[in-house]
Amino acid sequence: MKNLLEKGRISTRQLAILIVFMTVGDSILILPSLTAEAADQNAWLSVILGGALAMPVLWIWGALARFYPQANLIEIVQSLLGKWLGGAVALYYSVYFFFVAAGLIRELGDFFTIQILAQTPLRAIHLLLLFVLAWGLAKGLEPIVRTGELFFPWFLLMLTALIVCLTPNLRPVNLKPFLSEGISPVLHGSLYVLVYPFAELVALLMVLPYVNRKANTKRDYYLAALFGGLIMLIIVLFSLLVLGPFLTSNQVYPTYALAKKVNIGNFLQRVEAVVAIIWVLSTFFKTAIHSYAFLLGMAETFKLQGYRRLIGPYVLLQFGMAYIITPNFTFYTDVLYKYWPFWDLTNALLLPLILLAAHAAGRKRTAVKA
Amino acid sequence: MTIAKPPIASLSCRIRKPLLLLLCAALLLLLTGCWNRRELDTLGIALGFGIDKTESAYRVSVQVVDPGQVSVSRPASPGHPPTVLFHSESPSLYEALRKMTEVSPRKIYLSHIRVLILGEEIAREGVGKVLDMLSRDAEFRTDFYLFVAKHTTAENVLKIFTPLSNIPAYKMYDALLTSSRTWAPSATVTLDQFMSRIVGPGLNPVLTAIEVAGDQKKGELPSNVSRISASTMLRTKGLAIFDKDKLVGWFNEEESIGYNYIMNQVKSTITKVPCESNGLIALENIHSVTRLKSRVRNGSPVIKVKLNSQVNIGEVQCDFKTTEPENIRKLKHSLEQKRIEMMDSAVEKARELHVDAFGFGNAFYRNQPAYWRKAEKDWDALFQSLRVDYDANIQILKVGTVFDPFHASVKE
Repeated sequence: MKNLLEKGRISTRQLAILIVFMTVGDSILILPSLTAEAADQNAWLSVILGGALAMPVLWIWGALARFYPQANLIEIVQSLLGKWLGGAVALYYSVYFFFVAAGLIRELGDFFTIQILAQTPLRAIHLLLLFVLAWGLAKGLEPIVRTGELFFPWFLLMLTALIVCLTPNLRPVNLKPFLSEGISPVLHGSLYVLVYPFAELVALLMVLPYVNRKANTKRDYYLAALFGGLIMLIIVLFSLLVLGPFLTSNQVYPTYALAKKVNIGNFLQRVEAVVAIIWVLSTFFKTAIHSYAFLLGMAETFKLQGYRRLIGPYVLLQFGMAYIITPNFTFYTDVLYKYWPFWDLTNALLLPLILLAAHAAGRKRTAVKA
Repeated sequence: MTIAKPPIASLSCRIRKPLLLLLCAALLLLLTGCWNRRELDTLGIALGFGIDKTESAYRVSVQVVDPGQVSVSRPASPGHPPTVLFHSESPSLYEALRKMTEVSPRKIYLSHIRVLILGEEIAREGVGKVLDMLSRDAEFRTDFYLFVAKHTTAENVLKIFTPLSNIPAYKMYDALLTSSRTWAPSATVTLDQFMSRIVGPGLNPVLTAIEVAGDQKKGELPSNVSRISASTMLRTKGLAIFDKDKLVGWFNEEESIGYNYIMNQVKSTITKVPCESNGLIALENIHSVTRLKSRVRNGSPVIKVKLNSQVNIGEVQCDFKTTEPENIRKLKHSLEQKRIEMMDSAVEKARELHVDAFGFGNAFYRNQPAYWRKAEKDWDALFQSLRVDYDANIQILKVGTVFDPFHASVKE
């Protein structure tokens, strides 16, 4: 199968950086309170468990990519499920990517209007974000991932600085009692870890065929996801150790509250706005890949010459959708806590499994024919 | 197949340049900053925040710094106070703050609050409702310290002129920080710690009490600081004990230090021990670590408080030969007894008030969660009969720069 729409190629290193960015993504903002709400002081166990559960999911995608090294998710769907069913599922996936991107844009907008720019209209922030997004998308996949490569050291530097500066505030006693309520709250918490950092990586299936594969590509694919998971583990662990389980679950943005706690000798303090760069960067790259997946998916589904003509309409649509995706903050967090995980799981786990089954069935049929 | 080129690349160079310039100009739009930026001269920077109760509303007092009076370049005009106190009343704190614009020319900016003072009356009634607004508002940080105004209102505390540090809120902040580091009967409690201890299982918070020592009326006049000995001062006065969010009583000085020993919050302090003959020996605490261990023995809870500490001798008022190893051993023993007495007095006071101020219950919650589930309901009764074992181990390291006290060698 030939890829007609995307000529760019990315290296394994760029893929790894992209995976780390997407794993951290918006999860760094929402995951600590979601897991702590479910599992209290054992939320960090949820992260470990969720990360472990995510590895088989990654393996399933890996298997799909191995069987169809030249095809992205939409092409796989279409070739396996036929013109009409395949077309419908391809459209469904594109719409899913669109909604994830809308949610991500809204999350950043909400974060800014709640914590930093209290009276700035939400849509002003969305617009700025969408401008940069449109610019990146117009340039294509390669420039986006190269930008990621450029920002990655800064991302790591900020993150390391945050973690190091917080070490004087750690209170290990916050982690006790260990597993006092049994394993089920931990399992509940691990659902969010499985879903928000990892399951939403399914958009990677739109990017994987454009990776220049080397011997270490497969290894780095898992390692990068694990590294992103490790960052999440540290963030959740530090939230619990510094803020305690109650404040972690009761804060809208525990990571920001964490950054407010930085105070080295009454000198290095009030750095939270600088530290916010971490999740602006990671959420931006996650949004960019989901937007890219949507545009490419639409272009593939409808057999267009290229996706760049869709960027304008996409930005307009997204500008509207990010605004109306939730009537208020409470609705959004409620959906994130109760419903969204299952939608993510359907698209990241159930459908790829069906695709794998279809692949196996199809191979058997051709084998019988031969 | 060709890739669709971005439009700019296909244009000729002549049009491209102006377009790029236009793009650069458009970038300026990104540099405008926040939507609702507020300049420094429109902000009333609040440093102290006080909450009191009137009959049907909250009375909010805010100590706002007057920049003209504290600037380095321009000398302050004499007689003008460095801060201004605004207050307003409303059943909603949030509204009260906005209503303050009725009297304040500037909107109050709360990010730089140093101290939050709760009036005694509202503290006795419960402060849970008050704290919600403070934790919800994005302008508040959590790095300020909380106080309870003892036998007075928060407003009265914020009105006092303070010597040495002309902004009273800074004075209180620094004084608390210094005294908790060097003298110990106080606690630096921030808003998030306070809230965590209110909601935590088996935990109760304490706050430092602050009182107006001297005459209130005189303290409100600038003449209070124009004399070498200020007639009225703000003084921290032990700890205020809370049952969840309600003030129920006070630890005195010795009990407060005892409390801080149990809570492992003592950095440095002075302990005085009576001599065998007349007089005292005072020792400086160099280092102390306390570990709490909870155990369930035969179905009943036991707390073990293990104190390890190193001290230096700082003052000897009697005929006590510091060169005598046997003396040091005896002193060590009586010092250990003294510390245990201090800790026990705090526990007894807490029992009297029926408040587990130390979080002993929380120790069981963390370490014996199965036991805590059963005991949580009647922890109040269990706390009364809770066995607390003390184990103090103190080393006396140094005796200062001299050997025996000089007055001991005076021939009678």
